[in-house]
Amino acid sequence: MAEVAGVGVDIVSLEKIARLLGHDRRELALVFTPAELQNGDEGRDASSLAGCWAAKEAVLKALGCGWSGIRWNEVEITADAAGGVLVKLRGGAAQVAGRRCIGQIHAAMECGEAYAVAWAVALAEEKTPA
Amino acid sequence: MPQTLTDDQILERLTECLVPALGITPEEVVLDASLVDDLGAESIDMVDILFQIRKTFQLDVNFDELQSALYGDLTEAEFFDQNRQVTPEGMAQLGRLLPDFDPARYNGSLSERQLYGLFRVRHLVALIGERLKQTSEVDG
Repeated sequence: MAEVAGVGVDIVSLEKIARLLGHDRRELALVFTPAELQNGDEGRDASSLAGCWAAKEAVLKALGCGWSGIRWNEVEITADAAGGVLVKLRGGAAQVAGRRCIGQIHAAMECGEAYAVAWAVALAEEKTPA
Repeated sequence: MPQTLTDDQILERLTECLVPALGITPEEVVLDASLVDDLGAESIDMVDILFQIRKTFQLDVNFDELQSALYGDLTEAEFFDQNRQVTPEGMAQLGRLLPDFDPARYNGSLSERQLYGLFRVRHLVALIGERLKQTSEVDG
């Protein structure tokens, strides 16, 4: 049975994300994956990308780490077939999860008129007794 | 740019990056100001600031480099334990680097996330100065 290894919550203002979207596409690609940008109307939809950023931060907090050694686009937030949040980890983020035996991360997010908020729970796989 | 600039020139141009990103006044941008505690920077602001630095100074400065400014002569593996908590050696290093650093404020345990609160404007100035110098030496 999996056990909770960490939880994370984050909130971000849409105004700050809209400001970030003023940077060029090459820079946005350092933060958001192609799939995230596609869901975010190619980088024009601040509310969608605000939810993405809040979820990325919530996932990092659930992993118990900061951004050192992890690229912003190595945590990908997209929607699954049922409309839920799908978290994919790559590179440094996947390595952190691997070191902590974290096999699943569940996340949820909501976006209002001014802020987006996200929650994440990291579940560790049960260790096999030696 | 890239070219060698004095610390004052770097601070002046860095102020132009920080003021719009953080919604603060130029007078608030002083060397000892904490980016998080004094200037209110959140992680999304740090992304914006690093992009602004990229444009203003034509330098690719990343988050790892900023954080490593606090490691001193320790390696990352010596500074953090496996749970990304600052080690006793790392805490001692922070004490040497930051005169007003008080370990008691953190009950002797500091996470990587809490470390963000220790970033000062002076660390950005030093990092940009060092990177400009390196670039200048390569170009020269």
